[in-house]
Amino acid sequence: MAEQRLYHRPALTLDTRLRRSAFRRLYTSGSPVSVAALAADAGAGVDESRATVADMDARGVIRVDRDGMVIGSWGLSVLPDRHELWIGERRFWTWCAMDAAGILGALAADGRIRSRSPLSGATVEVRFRAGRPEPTAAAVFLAERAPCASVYEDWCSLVNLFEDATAAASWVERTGSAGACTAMDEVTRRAAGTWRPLVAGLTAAERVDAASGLTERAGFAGSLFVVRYLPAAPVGLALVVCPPILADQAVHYRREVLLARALGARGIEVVRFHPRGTGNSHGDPLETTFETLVADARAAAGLVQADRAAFLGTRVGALVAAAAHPGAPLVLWDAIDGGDFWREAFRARRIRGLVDGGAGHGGSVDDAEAQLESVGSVDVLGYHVGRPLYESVRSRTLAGELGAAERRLLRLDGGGRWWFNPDPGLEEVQHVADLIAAWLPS
Amino acid sequence: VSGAQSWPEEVVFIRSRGSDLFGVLTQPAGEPEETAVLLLSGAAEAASFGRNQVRARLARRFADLGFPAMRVDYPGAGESTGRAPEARLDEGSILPLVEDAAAVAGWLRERGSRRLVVAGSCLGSRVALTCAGRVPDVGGLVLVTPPVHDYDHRRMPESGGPQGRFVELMRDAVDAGLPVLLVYGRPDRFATDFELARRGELGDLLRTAGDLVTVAMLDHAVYDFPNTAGQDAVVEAAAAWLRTHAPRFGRSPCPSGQEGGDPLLRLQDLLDG
Repeated sequence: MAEQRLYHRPALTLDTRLRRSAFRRLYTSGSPVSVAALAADAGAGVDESRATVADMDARGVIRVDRDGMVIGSWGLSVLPDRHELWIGERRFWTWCAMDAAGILGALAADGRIRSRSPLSGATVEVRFRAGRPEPTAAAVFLAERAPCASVYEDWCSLVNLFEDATAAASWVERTGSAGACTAMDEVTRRAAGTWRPLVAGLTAAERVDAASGLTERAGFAGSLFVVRYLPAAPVGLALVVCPPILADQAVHYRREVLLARALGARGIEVVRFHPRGTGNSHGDPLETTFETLVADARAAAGLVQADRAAFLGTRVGALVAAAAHPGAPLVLWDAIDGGDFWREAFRARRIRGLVDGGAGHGGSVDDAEAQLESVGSVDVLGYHVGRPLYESVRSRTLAGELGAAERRLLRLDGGGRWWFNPDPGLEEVQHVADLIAAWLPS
Repeated sequence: VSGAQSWPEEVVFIRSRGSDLFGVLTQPAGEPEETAVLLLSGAAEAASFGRNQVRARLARRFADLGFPAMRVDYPGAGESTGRAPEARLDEGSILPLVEDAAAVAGWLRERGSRRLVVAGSCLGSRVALTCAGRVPDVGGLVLVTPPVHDYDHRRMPESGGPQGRFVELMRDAVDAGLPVLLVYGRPDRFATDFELARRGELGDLLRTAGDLVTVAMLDHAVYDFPNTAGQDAVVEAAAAWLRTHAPRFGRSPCPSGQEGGDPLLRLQDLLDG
């Protein structure tokens, strides 16, 4: 059933998972990677992973050093190899010329490839801007695919960069190698498609607001979708926004985006995130619990650059914000206790069922609870709600999450005005941003 | 830092009409097909991932079939900047959104896509339909609850509505040879309107179109994705349609034409041994 809902991807083979993880870790860290780390990423045992890595090393589809550390995967190497690859100011190496072009193309990065022509030994350099080669006569020889014992030794060693097509042709004539000489831009265009799935999520999308200079950086931190708002003139304070859940998330969504921008323009760093199993994040909503919501809020808070962070939570998000960092300053917006939240949600579900004549909804609160008990999940206004979420939120109260610790609190109760206005006016958002900016400790 | 995403996804801001449009591109695990899918939401949705992530799930399902899929927030919605579109279906309201779709299509083309399937729900379905012939390389359409009348979201009559360009646009798509999937949920008023329209000119057009137009009439409500069963049914129907048409949208023959072998297109096989 969960597979039909498509929260889990059908498993890739272990060797693919290990190679993929190795590539991403090599790119991210620029250092050799232990098999244990790859095994953890792949959700596999270390011994099984070690055996698989050894087999792949023998087939030349991964590279391992004498200490058993992985140094290369999917053509990318963190130790010197045949072709030097600069991605911005970071230096890597690749097994073949096509790897270098594909990686730069997939990343849409500025950079350059430095290599030696197999014909003349001359240095050949190709510069890239935004993932595209600058005009060049250089060309890549692409060897024909053929069964081989080692991809690294037998195939990659033939795929080289030449000063121009004529040089490549001379080399082919001399060596009798089978394949085709291809222009740099064509190689890049086509190879980029191979590396795009590998680099996806490694880079963030960025926009800079022309008026305020605020940088908005959206991307993934592991499975979490995160947007960071980095002010041009930071005041040393940050706000972590804990969103509400289920239908509340959609209702309050745009308001939180606009508020983050308004606070960012006032010098306050903001981090927004989508808890796992919601929004753009990955994960199965049926596995979401109050504890995972808090863990995700803490993970988002870990991205804060400022020295001091406050939290803002809306509706059930207020309970999450309260629990995420005891003692931290807290903005509570339309906070609601867990029991009241479910009563409201189930009542809305019942009303919708009555209006729609039972089109997938309906039933009393007791019916919804009985379904959670018997089936383990229930549809609440088009959202999958699992028993773990229901039970872990039901008994939570704001008072309980606040505890006895002393902390600064700002309580905002927008009530119906926000509830019925998912597209808030900028003026209202600016007003709330002023309130929060004035309240945050200086 | 790595391996935690279930599907490889890339986020992007794309400039269009003075706004930064936010998009998420879901990539297949292996080499992608050269056809990408552009997913457009309805007017009432807060962001392009959709209620209960339905559009994110749709994108991920398409990626599992080998097709990169991009979901985009309209201006003024989700993470995009700018002003929200009017929830109206007249041409004057739709064409600016078609311009946005064209900007996204251009970005996808720069990333190697050669054809585009545009898949939209409600307002998005009418934007998708209007993209045919206006956005280069559109090769197919998935239209979920497309209204046959040009409603104004704020003044929807009990039934019927102002006559619009739906049939004309459908005819353009059929004449262009585009395969089209129409998805309706039987309990929705849009399905009733569609069935009524089918008794007239639209019915004639659908009969003429033959296999080119597929109609999936689902048992669940689908408009605004109000329940999970309807969401799952839409994902399944769209995936089944894309699978059926995969030969049409699949990888084009080796560009260089040489037998046995474009090594780039076979790289995955090579590395998999």
